Amino acid sequence: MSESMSRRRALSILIGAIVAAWSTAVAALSGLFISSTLKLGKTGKEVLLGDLTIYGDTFRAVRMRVRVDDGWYKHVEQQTVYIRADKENPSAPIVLSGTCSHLGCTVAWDESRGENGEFVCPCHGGRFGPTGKVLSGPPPSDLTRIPAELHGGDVYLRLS
Amino acid sequence: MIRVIKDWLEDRAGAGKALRAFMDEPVPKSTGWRNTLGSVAGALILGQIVTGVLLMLFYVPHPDAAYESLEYVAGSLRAGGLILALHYWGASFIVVAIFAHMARVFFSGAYKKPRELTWLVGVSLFGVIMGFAFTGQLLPWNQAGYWAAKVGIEIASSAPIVGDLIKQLLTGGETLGALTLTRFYTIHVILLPLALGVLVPLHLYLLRRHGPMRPAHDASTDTAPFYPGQLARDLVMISIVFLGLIAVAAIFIGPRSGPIDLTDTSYIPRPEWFFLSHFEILRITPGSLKIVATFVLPNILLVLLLALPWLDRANTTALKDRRLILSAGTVVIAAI
Repeated sequence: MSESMSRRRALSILIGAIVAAWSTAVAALSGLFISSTLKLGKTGKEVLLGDLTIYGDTFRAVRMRVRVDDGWYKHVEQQTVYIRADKENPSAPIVLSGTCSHLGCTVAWDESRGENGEFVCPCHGGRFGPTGKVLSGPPPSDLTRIPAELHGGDVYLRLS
Repeated sequence: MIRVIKDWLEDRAGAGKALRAFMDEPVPKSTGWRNTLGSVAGALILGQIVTGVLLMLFYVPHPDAAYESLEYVAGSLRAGGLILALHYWGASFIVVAIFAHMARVFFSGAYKKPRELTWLVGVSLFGVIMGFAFTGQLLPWNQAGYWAAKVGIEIASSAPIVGDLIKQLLTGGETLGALTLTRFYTIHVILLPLALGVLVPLHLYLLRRHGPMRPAHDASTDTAPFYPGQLARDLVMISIVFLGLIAVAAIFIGPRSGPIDLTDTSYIPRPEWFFLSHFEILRITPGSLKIVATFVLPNILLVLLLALPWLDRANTTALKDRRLILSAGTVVIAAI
């Protein structure tokens, strides 16, 4: 290999190394920075929904006020869940998320539909039964059941 | 597989051919380290775009949130303080790189025919960069930025006839506030980047059209392809400058000043170092001659800068034949 060829090769390797090093540095710094907030708002929260006796055996929409740490913006957000007493298990009510599993719209409880009432999504027409099970439409999965616990007669939700 | 993709792209876009033409562009063999300053400025601008986009993911251009959102970036996000400092100091590094690049072009006479348009576009780019620096100062919504913008808007408003209109357009109302912040933000992240998007390719096209200027002492016609020699020099110089920037940003990390407090009379507003020469002129000029300092003098300098290719009429780029223009330029640079 002539001298000029080996110099050209050495310079090409140097150029490749510099470009690779800086690209890696930029990607690493950007990734580190952006990933700081990926887990925001995913910490568990316990929310008090009040005395169990106020909930009957039909679903009732409850608008919870949840403190949200949205980056620098700390505020209170309203979220909807549906709650009713469970005849088979009086110690813990049934609580379903009001968020449709299809694309995130808020479902509405319609007691007059079906035999025992249905949840209907206003966006794309998804329908769910009283247990949250998908009946028809595009939702890929059932409504999420939120764990509820009783402490001294009060209902607490554990949100994640 | 890579070969198939390369061939597919080559057939449709001719990308390889264009890249080869770019890389194999012949440049004078005497082209060397002094010709890397423009590339350094370009790379620093790219760096500002990267850190700027990252900051835009969190920054909020609202008086109630701007300062807090950047505090959050610096205090709560991984590498947030460093990214903020890189963006802040990157501006100073660009100004230094462009000063050095323009000084090199000035002393080597590289603005002469047929490169007058390259010079004009370059001076315009310098103006755009100063526009970035000016509008960027206000965005953190801190004491330093507020007073810098306030004084800057007053300076712009001293222009005859259109002064008041410029002030109203920039401020958006009677006082510097929410509308000013969103206007400065829009100028900083949309209008000035658009101007860069037009001027940088034009500058590069003109550079490629005429090639780097051969220095007066180089009487040969020897050339070498841009790749790999000059590209390697460019990248080594860019790497050195960026390592310096990272070091400065890491050392001088942290807020420049506190949130805006108009009742704080102990705060002494001072502009960024690259506006200090103008600040001193404003300080020593009597009030009755204010317009000389705010409007006349800066515009005379701007016109002289733009007219440089036509003021320097010597048919040579040799230093010894351009004593008058070089002396005048040196005095102005020293004064600044």
